Amino acid sequence: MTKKLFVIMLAIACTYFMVSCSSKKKVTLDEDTQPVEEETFVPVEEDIRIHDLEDDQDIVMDEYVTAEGYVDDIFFQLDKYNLDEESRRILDRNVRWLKDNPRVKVLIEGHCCDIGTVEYNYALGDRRANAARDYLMLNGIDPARIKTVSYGKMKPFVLGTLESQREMNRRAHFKIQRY
Amino acid sequence: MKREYLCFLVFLLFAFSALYAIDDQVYLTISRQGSGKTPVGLMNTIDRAEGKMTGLTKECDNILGFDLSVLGYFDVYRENELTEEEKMDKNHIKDDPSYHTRLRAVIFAYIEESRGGDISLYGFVRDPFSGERLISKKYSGPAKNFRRLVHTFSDDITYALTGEEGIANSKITAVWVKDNSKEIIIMDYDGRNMMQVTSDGSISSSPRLSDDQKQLVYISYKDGYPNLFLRNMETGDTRKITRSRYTKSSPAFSSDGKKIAFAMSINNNTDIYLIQDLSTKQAERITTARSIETSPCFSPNDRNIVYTSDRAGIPNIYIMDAGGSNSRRLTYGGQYYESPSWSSCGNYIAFVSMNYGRFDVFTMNIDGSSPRRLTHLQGSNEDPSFSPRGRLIVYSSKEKGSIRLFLTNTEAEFNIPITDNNMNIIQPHWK
Repeated sequence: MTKKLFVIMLAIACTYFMVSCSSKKKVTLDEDTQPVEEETFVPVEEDIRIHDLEDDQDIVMDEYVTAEGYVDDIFFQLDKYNLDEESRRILDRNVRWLKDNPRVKVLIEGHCCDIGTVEYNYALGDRRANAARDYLMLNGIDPARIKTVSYGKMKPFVLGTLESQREMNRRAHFKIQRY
Repeated sequence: MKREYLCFLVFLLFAFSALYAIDDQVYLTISRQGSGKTPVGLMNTIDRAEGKMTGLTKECDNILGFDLSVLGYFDVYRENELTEEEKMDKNHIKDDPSYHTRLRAVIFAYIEESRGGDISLYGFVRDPFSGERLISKKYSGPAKNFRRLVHTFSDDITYALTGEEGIANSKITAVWVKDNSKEIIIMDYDGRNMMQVTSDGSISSSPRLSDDQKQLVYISYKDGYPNLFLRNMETGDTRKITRSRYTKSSPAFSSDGKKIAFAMSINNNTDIYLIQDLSTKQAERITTARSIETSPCFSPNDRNIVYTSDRAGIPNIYIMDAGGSNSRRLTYGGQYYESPSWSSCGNYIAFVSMNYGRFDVFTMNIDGSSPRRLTHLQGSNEDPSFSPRGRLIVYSSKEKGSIRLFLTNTEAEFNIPITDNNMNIIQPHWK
């Protein structure tokens, strides 16, 4: 009886050990030397997986130009990254244009207003850019065509502390790659 | 009579264990009633060749006055505030039993400029009761290091009179907000001697010096995406230590300078990662929640990390073991709390709390108790960072469109600006 209990406890201990190990995989910091299969560090609770490409040619920002007139930026409430109806309508239009122009790649920049700290806003900007990216992906845009970058509050569109000015800075900004 | 009184005082101090010993030396602090600070006299510095005060000697007095006052150990009396008796030298004191002084020490200095462009500072500290010279030193160096000579004398005074290391030669790194770029700068703790570290014309942020001031880690977008860079402050060599498109922010050195914790977003999830060994290019994820975890700061003994998480809906301050386990929440006030900084003496955490879209700087105990508000200024007060030894705090304050750095102490006795209105400076970090 005690033996049985011991075996069960051992099994539980092993499982716990395996689980705790899996949540602490090492991450390689140098993407250039990182083979694709090492992407297994992506934790299990993630619902969306990025298929990160190895072609780092398009990592250079200069190749992207402001997409005004082709695709439009979306805006966010203070400290929020959820997409409201207006944002989804704009993104639907962006999706249609990107489907009509299948060779275009897009860079989505996440931006925040000056309220909030530098560090937290880097993370918030990341979420805003990813909210837009996720929406494009769910609507059939190949994730390989989308890159994101967060500027937090470090690259505002408008300087000033009026609410109307701050609103302009809480956005996901789209840039496209020119051919 | 005087002597008897002193003996009684010493006995009392023994009885209440208020006498403390550091490095086998015994320091007895006799202070003016009520202030809790040691009264010291600061005589006017004299140019040795000219025999009088000059622009340089006045600057020396200003530096000494600032260094000694801001720490909070001393009540500094300038020469014009002293009685004739208090200015007297030891011969007079021995001869006169009715001698009376408020001072625990008298500080005086001479400056000598040599032909080669070097400057010498002769610094003295005298005990007015015994007449003994506690410090009698010559500090020499090139004229451009003049402030450093004076700061070194200040630190010696602090050590001689309190037994605690001074901070006058500590450094503050920060970010200079320019129109089209953000650059890393470094300055003395009084805001002077400012130098630009990066000039990439890009966004650089989150500078953190190691405890020994030899390494600087920061974030730079100069290659398009935010990556961590490590700069050797002695040689100027700069090395990129991450190379990926993931958003990275808020790097923090461990106290031993061997590890770096930082925040990184992978698949829309910002967590804290730990680089155990800077040569391996490997980082271990130490927080696992789906929420944003950022702004790590090590405890002075490197056993714990204080950080920010919005797992409760808005950013709050948490503490965990350095390996990521045993996480506890410290703030419960229902506001937006961020930017934790652990005092190097270990007993306080400074942080910011948002109120109507602007921040104030607070401290609390490391269990989250006794929060104390340090700033009451109009603007937004952000990014607090403790001085070495934990007595002072630097923070940035945004008011009427300009952002300056201010110093305060843990008692919030003052808020002194150390940078000018014409430069916007954020993210100070003190080492």
